[in-house]
Amino acid sequence: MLNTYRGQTMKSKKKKLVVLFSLIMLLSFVLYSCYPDYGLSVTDYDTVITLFDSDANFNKQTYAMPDSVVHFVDEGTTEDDIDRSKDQLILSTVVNNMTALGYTRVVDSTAAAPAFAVLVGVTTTEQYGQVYYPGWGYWYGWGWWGGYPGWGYPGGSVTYNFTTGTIFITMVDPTKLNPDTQTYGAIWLARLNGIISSSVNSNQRITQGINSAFDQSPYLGYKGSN
Amino acid sequence: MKWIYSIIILLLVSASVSAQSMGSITYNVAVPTDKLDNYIDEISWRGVGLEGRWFQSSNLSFGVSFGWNVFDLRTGDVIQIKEDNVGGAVSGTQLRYVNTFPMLATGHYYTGKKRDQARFYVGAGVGTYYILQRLEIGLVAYESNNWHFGLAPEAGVLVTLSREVTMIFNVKYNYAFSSGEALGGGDNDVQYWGFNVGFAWQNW
Repeated sequence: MLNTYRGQTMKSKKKKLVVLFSLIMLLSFVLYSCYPDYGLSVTDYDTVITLFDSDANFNKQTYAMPDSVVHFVDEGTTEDDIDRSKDQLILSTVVNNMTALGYTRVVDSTAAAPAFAVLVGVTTTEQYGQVYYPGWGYWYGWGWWGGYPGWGYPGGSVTYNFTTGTIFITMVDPTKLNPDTQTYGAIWLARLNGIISSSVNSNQRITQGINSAFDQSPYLGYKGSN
Repeated sequence: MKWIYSIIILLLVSASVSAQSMGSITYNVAVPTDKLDNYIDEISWRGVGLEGRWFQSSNLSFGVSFGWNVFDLRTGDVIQIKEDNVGGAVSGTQLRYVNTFPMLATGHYYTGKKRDQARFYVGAGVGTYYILQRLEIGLVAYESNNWHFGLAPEAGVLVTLSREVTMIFNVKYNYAFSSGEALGGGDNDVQYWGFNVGFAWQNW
């Protein structure tokens, strides 16, 4: 009788172990997420998007670029809250990359009209929806192309969002004027999302972000006249 | 999630009350293949399976099975964009996820006799897969959640340790057929190997 009792106790323990194992398995998954958290840091949210007009000819030598970064603001707002301490770093990093690609910056407004205009801007507001570029009064009377009517997005429009502190670098071909919209054609656009919205490693992130934009655009570069 | 709990309870209760039935719970490891491997080339160490089988004879059973596997990957790969007249690229830290929930009707054929210590079997499941595909990059997340028709051929072995305790080992090839477009474009069929081990409890 005692052996039978012990045997039943052993079986009962085994059953309990199986049930326990099963419950642990189930519970671990009930508590587990469909989307594991990787514990990302601020810099992990930096993204660099580049778009280009696949019909554009990037093999031209000269470009012009203003000496300052345009700060986009909400309509009706005259001031922004992004300081300009990063502007020179942004501009010099763009120039360094353009030079490395064989392009020559033209600064003399009496020289021949350059092939491209490179424009750098920063957002000060969070926006969602279809991106468009209003004309920049900045360019009026600047020289080669007279009044600047603005430019269109490469290939039309793409819907996405961008956040405060996003840097835009745009390459415009003044020969690509859209008569319907009276906009110049942007043939290359780089968007560095949220790079300067946080102070964490901002100089390094600006440099890396701009370098990445050029690195992931292998079609850019002046390779000599055809 | 309520429907998941309902299925779990149904399986456990059904398997335990039937005269000749078997219920099992398994830890599932999955290896992605084909398009899923292109999206996430990492083994899924997070998976669970629940199954109920009802025996029509000593060598034949029909049943239902439910599973869950989580595939995930952190990567800095550059995404290429190609649209009409526009090209481009997106770089940044990406988190890629795929959750698969197979819900299958199953049939199995067993070798040997009921009381054999090891019984090999082959079988297959047919039914639906609910699959969640997600991509996070920057502050943006993209999702594509779809139901798929699917098949899962299977081979395995039942190892009886005692009258009450049976271990189950099996290998399944999960094939969820395309039911639309994947996040990155193209068909969204999903395929992976499942290597499963766990415990079964039987009522004879």
